[in-house]
Amino acid sequence: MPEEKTLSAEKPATVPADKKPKGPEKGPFSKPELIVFIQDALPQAVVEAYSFLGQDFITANKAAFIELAELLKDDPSQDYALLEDLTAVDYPQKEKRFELIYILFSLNRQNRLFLKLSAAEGETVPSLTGLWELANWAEREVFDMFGIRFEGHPDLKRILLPDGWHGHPLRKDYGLEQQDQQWIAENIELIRPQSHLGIPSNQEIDHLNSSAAKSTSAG
Amino acid sequence: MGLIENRFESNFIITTVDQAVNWARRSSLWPMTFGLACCAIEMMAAGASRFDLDRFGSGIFRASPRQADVLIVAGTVTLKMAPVIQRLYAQIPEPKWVISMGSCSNCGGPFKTYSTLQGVDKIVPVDVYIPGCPPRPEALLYGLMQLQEKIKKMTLAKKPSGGPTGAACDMGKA
Repeated sequence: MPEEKTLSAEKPATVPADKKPKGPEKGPFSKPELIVFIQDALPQAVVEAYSFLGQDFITANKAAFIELAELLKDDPSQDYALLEDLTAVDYPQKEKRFELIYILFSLNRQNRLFLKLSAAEGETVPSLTGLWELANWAEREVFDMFGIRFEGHPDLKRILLPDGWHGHPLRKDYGLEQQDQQWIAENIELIRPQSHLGIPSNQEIDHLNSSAAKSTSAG
Repeated sequence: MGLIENRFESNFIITTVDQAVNWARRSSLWPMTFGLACCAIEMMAAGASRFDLDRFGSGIFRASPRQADVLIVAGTVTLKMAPVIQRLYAQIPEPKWVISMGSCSNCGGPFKTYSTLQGVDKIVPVDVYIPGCPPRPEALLYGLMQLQEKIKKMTLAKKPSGGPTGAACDMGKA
């Protein structure tokens, strides 16, 4: 039918997966002398090094991670004095599901370096609070959102969510709208059920159904 | 409204007293200093000289709930903040009113997430909802004037049938 044709013509053409443009790829590490420098001092520290879109990434070995960070911070030739940020990503399909990302910045050389570290479920990661004070709160946030524990952290507790909360919201297996119903029941006195724009959630429908069943059985 | 509530029918004395009491109440609504997010910036602008909440007798933001009449919930209500709001609301002496300012406070706004309460009316009774993200100061002024209209219709004589606060807002019958 002609109408259908016009409709389909308006749709954006779908590109098959194999014909999609690949996008930018990892390239070789832009500063090979840095890798040589690290391997002279700490032979086991670097697992992988690459550059991506002009940014330098080093995947570190957990066993030598603190030594590597200390070397990058304190050695005058590197001088990464600032830990800009510390965060993590959850890749559930990977063997070690969490990837921590440390962004280091050298104020004197105006140079940025990304350190990466993998961690499995339940695995502890060395804390960098001894090197950068900033790591204290950042690691607490990573613990809050992902449940990754940091060994040697002075006070590892939740920073954003309430202390009694169950679950870690930035994990991929945590629902987008999931809320800790137990915490809500213990701490908030709801005068109306939780719902969005009056549309009841599945839990509310279950609750309404069960209360309706109770009232009919009682009556 | 205490002792005389529900004891009398509406009569000449009651309505006269109502007029005087309601005039006094609506002419000096003291909000609590309570901002949760960007709506609070608009609330501050409404309180400052350009928009001047004081013209409606409502410019005195009190730092303590015990001296306040109105709770303006200005901003995103996180679940962590919800028990605090409930406690603050409980500390405001009667009669008290709640203005829900902005989409977040009305219904959660864009934050349908793990941490956000989907509307402050889940935890405290709301009298006036102000839409907007954030509402402009004029919208807050209009919301305040709507609340004043509501207070105008309160009465000492009988308990309200449908008002959310329990503090007498019988809009339909008045």
